[in-house]
Amino acid sequence: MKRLAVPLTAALAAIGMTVSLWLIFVNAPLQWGKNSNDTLNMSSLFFNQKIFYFHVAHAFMLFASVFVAGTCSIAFLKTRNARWDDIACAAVNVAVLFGAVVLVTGSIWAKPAWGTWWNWEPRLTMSLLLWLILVGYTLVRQFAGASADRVAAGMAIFGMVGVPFIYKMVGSDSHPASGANGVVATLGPGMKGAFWLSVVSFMCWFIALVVFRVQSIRAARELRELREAALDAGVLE
Amino acid sequence: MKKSLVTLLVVLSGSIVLADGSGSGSGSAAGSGSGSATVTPVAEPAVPTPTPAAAKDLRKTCTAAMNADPTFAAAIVKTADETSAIKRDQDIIDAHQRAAAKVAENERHVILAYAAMWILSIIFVIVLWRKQGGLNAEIATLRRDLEAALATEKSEKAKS
Amino acid sequence: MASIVTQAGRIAWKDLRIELRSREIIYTMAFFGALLVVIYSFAFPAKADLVRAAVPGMLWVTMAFSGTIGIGRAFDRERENDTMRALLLAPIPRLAVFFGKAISITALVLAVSLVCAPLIALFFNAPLFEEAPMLLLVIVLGSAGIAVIGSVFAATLLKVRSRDVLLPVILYPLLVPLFVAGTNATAALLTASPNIDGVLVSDPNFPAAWYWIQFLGFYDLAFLVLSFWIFESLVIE
Repeated sequence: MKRLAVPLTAALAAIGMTVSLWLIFVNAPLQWGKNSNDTLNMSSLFFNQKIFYFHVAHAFMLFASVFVAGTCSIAFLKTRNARWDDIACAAVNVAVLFGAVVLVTGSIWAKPAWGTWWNWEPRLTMSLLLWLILVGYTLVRQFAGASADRVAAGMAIFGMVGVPFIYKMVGSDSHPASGANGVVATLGPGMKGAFWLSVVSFMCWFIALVVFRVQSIRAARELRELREAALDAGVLE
Repeated sequence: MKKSLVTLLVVLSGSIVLADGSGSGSGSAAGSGSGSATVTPVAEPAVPTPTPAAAKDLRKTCTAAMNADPTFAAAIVKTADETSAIKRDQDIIDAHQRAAAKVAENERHVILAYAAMWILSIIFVIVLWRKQGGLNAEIATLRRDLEAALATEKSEKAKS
Repeated sequence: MASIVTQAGRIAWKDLRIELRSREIIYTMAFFGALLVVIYSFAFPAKADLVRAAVPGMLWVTMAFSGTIGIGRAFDRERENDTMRALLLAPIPRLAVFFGKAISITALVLAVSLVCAPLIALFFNAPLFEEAPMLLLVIVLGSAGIAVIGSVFAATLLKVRSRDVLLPVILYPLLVPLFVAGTNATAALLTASPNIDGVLVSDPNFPAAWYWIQFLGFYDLAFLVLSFWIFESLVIE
């Protein structure tokens, strides 16, 4: 089962991504806006709306990983079981990738939609701040030596608690809204399926990467232990 | 939709024909009026009185001529149909062209975004993969060396 | 509970007495803050309205920079003779240790901001004293937030070699909401609008200032409670 986890989720993600690509580019209608007199016009999104499906799916995973890392870090500090720490670390590593994708695709979207590559638009700012926390976490992990796991766990927990404050701080905005009357709720019939499929397939992708990364971290730990054993046995100088 | 367009066009073309008829009627009225205008220029409004009759006659002749030709109505409907179809097609083509232009304009960004996403993911996976491969290789060699060392140690102990 | 407060007070008083004898941290921090203010005067275009808009930012950047330096130095003092271990082993709750440290560092950061704020007011002709009590409240809340989060991480980073670089790497992403709230509150208090003669007179935006003060209060409270919860598991190896 453990051996199968990565290939299985990765395969699911691959199938899901292929189907959602087809849905997005062939099946889903173009995004038409409405003029004030209720006639159709080509809104600023239009074909660019195709970025939305993957961009938002990545953003979901970015936000989710902050909470995954936070809760796993709490569990780690409570139980001192390094397995929790491995999951937190892996989730953050993968989330750094997802955050990078969110920021890059977001700013590519911003160019045609708002005319600049970057405006300090609230949700973009929020993604950037969370991403910075996660990058800080990976830096701490790398360079904090023996107490890296504790310091990083603390950072993940503080970051998680800070999310509502960051959310409150950035306030409301020009970005396509989320929530009950947001973009997701107003997606057309051909769009909703494509959107949720891409969210699910990127979740699978995220899980596959995290599990893979956890295995890698565990292998690194095993290597450290082996090295110690080898030093004791005189194999290594 | 199509039917109402056709009727509209028929009515339109009919009224154009009729307007032409009344136009020529007033033209003839002006011609007849110019004669009386030499007497009293002010009496102009009174002059066209014969024109309705003339126009009516003309229209009658015209309608009669049109009715006499059995293919005429069909021909008018056909022409109207064709022009409206061309116009409709042109509208559709225009809309599509505008949409295509917008898509082409957007396409660059969409391609860029998707390319960025895939490139970042692929780089990440390759880095992870290589790291994992290196780790596994190192673990394997270390474990082998360790086992060999332990084995020799054991055999030496057994000897002594 | 009462004993924790008195014990925390004793630890804070101990730190402050050491500081009052050597005056090392307060002098260096204050001088550093003053230098920063001087640098701002060269860094910003010398236009009255531009500078006026930048004053809140200057105040909070100064607090952030000199605050991290002060926090790092304050904990270095405990490291040099390994007195942190003694403190943690002392027969008092570790919460008291944390609380006492947080109080003394709040006092330090506050002292430095109270040196820098008048300097900014002097150099940039900013009406910082028009709403002095409110502004003092904002600065106290900001210093407390910096000190609370700073003490937690400075204490955990105590044994780490690269702690001087890692402290800002951890603190700044987590403190962004605090800096934004502080800057916005200060800016709201410094708002000026032209009077009938076209002369700028201060016209504080109290609702906005109050909103951000509440934000700061909740932020401090949330992280204080969180620190109470996890300080112990973070500092124990």
